[in-house]
This record gives sequence, structure tokens and C-alpha cells, in this order.
Amino acid sequence: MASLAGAGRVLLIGDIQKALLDAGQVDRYPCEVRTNILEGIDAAARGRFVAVGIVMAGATHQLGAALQALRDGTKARILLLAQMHEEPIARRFVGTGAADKLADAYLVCPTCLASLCSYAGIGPGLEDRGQKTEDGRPTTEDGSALNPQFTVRNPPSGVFLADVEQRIRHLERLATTDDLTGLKNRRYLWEFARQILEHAGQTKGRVTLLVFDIDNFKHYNDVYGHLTGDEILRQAALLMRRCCRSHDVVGRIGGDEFAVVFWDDPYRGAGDVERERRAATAEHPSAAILVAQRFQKEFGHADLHLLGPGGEGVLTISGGLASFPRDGATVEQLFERADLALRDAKGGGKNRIYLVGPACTSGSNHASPSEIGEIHIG
Amino acid sequence: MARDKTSPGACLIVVGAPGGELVRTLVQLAREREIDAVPCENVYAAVVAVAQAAGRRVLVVGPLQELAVETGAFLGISAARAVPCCCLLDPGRAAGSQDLLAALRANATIVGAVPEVRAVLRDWLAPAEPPSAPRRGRGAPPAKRSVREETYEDLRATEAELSALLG
Repeated sequence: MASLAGAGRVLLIGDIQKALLDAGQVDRYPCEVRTNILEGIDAAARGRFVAVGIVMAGATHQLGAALQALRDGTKARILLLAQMHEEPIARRFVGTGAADKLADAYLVCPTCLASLCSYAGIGPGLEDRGQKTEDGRPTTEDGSALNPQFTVRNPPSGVFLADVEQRIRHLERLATTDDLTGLKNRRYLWEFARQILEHAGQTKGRVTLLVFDIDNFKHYNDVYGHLTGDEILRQAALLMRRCCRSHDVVGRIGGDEFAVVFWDDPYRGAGDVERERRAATAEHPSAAILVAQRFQKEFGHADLHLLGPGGEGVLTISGGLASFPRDGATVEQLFERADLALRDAKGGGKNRIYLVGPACTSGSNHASPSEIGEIHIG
Repeated sequence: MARDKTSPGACLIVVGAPGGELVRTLVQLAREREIDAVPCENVYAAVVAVAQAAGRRVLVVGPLQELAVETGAFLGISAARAVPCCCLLDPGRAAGSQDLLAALRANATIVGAVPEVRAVLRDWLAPAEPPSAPRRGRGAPPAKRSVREETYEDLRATEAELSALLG
């Protein structure tokens, strides 16, 4: 049989340390690694890999062009290895329409090589193609010995892959989603915020955190019962999700407390980002304030039949906003500052959102921590 | 026009904006010479085109800034595959020293204007001389170096100078 580079193997492109928990074990798997994206595309186009996994981190601006080249240059399955904050972008590349489907699937990182190999159609020896080395170990198509615990399914079964993907997605959902509201849970939100702050620190990006809760929620729970309370939480979640931009992350921290992470989408055109940055640096977090105000207004007009005929317009929220890097450099600091602003909003009479520091005036980069600017009274 | 007999299976890969002067001119030149031209919008597409043209005579032409992206990885790959590259300098923009170094290390030809590519193309299409061709007779003048060779020599000297400057 002719030797084909990469046959039956997975090609990993990029800094795998950023994507894989067990990157140091890569030699034990049927994988090849290229840290440079162009060398990776070159290897993919010349070899016959089962799948190509591309680490999104660090490939922000050229990712579309690189994926298009991979799509044109190889028949391998293309898997994106996305950080949490890159998930919305990865979803966009995976797409549903055939025309813009530049990748076949994505995995949220950190992940592990076993999961990656499962996605690629390489798994614990279920199906043996019959090729073995002299000492009986299974081989790849180019005759090199494969780790005995792995066998390439040839061809990868679409049904099997769909099943594995579905199971992994299901487990991911369970681990990261709040089952009552369908929003992201506290664990996800915290980790996402940590990652996005790290990213923003490197790219001079902007991140704003909104923490809010429903005023007098305990009262509704006590008077109307917990089922009604749950329904209020679901309505709040739905409305907030609708008010936010697609890449903002909304989560439920616990009880009736929610949080939203607003951030700059780095995958928009560089011109757009630069224009916006020039126009709004001094006014940040203007987008977050607009969303918060829209949500406050919508929630105030929500018609909750469960609360009886007078159920419309009785619900209000209070919130606090804190921005990176002005109000804090870490997740802990931002949550603490936003929570402090929330408590001040409660103390100030509820139904309002407070912004840490003076409210969006130009040249307000040196806000004193004690200053709380009110941005809206419902 | 009969197919250029000196360039069987030759393939010209042109990297640049679709519809730009460079791509239009070179595609036209390739058509005149009856060689295949593969326009690529960026180096990511070009690296695939180079891989797909394995076994053929290939020349890559494109703006230096584009060919040298990713710290010159494309130029490095081309050099490793013995695929010559021709980098076009943007007259309206100073070339980065790192880009220039990457081009020099990859033995790429550097030109300052699109019409200059014509000479590079002509040299590339000329039949290659055997590496150690004996001189034809006593007193015969030494073989004249091609424009391409002259350029390489010049560029090697420049690299030494640049290295000295940059430490």
C-alpha cells in the first residue's frame, strides 16, 4: 500500500497547550501537531488526515481565510477547538447553511485528546481494519504502529460521530447550564469571565459585567408560591437573552440573581472595532447600559398572568455594572464591584441600575471606587 | 500561440486581491505564455495551491506584506519545497525589516513594480541550465548572469547588511 502522510491520523494546528488538558500526552495518540497555521494547512493539503483540529486561540483575524483554505485543500473533518468566549464564533463557522460551513464541529476547550479523537472517528478499538505490525499491534494506513488503545474507523461512521457529538454536547450542557432558566450557570459564567478578561487584557478589549436581581422576589415566592417564582425567573431569563447581543453571555448566578458579560466581539471587521473604540472608549460601557435599560423597560412591562389581573408592570429589577479595566482587573474584583453597585441600587430605593464610577462621561477614566453614578431610574 | 515548450506543466500562483492590478496583469501574462495561472486571495489559499501543484514547476508571485505573513512561514514552506517566490514591494508603504529578512532567507526575488515581474517570469520560464555546465571554449566569456541571479546576489549582500544593522 502506498504510504500516505497523515493517513488515519488527526492533524492538530496551533498552540495545543491552550486547548488540551493533556497536550503533553499527544505522542500517545494518533496525532500530528503543527504550531504554525500555514504549516498546518500545508500538511493538511499534502497528507490524508481523518480530521484536522484547529486551535482558535491566536488565529482570530485569519481564521476565516485559514478555514476556507483547509476546506479547499483537504477532505478531512475540520474541528474547531474553541475557548468559551470563542464558542459563538465557532458556532458561526460550523453554521447550518452549506455555503458558510467552514468547519464540521467545534469542541469547547479545554478538552482532552480522547474526546478529540472520538470526534475525529478514532476511538478505543471497536473496529479493526485488520492491518497489524509484526508484533500484532494495529497500524495506520502508512504502516506505522498505532497506540493499541486506538483504532481508526474506516470510514468514520456518520451515525457514530453524530451519537458521540450528541452525548458530548449533552454532558456539556448539563455541566454549564442552569436547568431552570436555560441560561449559563455560575460555573460557566465565572470561567467565561476569567477567560474573556485574560483575552481582553492582551487585546486591550473591553468587558462589562452586569449583576442584577429581581426586586422583592422573596415576596412573590411567598405570596404566589415557588412555581410562580420559577416562572418569573424564566421570564426574566428569556427577556434578558432577547435584549442582549448574540455574543454576550447571560447567566444565572443563583436564586434570583443574574449576570451578563458584555464584551467586544473580536471577529467583527477590524475597521468596525476600531471605529467603535475611537467613538466610544470614553463612554464604555455604553452598549451594556443600553441593553440594561432595554431589559429594565421590557421587564417592567412584562405581563405575568400568574400574578393575576394586576400582574403587568409590577416587576422591577436592580443592578450594578462594573467595567474592565476601569473597575477591576480580575473576575473577583469585577463581581465584587458590580455586586457593591447592586447593593447600593437596592439601598437607593430599588428599580434602578448603578454604574461603578461616574456615569459615562468622557475623560472619566479615573473613577474613585466610592463614586456610584446612577444611570437609570425606572 | 503554441504552448511554451520550455514550461511543461508550469503553474503560476498569483497572490493578491481579486481584480487587482497584480492579479490581472499576471493572469494575462500567463495566458499569453499558455501556462496555468492560479489566483489566490491570500497565502492560506496559496499554500494549498502550492501543495496541489506538487510535481509541477511553480512560481509564486505576490505582495511582500502578504507573502511574509505569519512570520514568513509561507516563504519558508515555499523555499523548503524549492518553489521560487517573487515578492512585490508596495511603493506606498515601507517594507518591514522582518518581512524583508523572511524574503531574503527564502531566496525570494524582490521587485518594485508589477512590470518587473515580467522579467522574473521570463527567467523562470527559460530552460534551466545544468548545474555544472562546462564552458564552451577557451577564452569564451563567462556566462552572463540572469536578472534573477543578479538580484539574488544583491539581496544576499543586503541581508548581511540588514543582519548587521538589526543585530
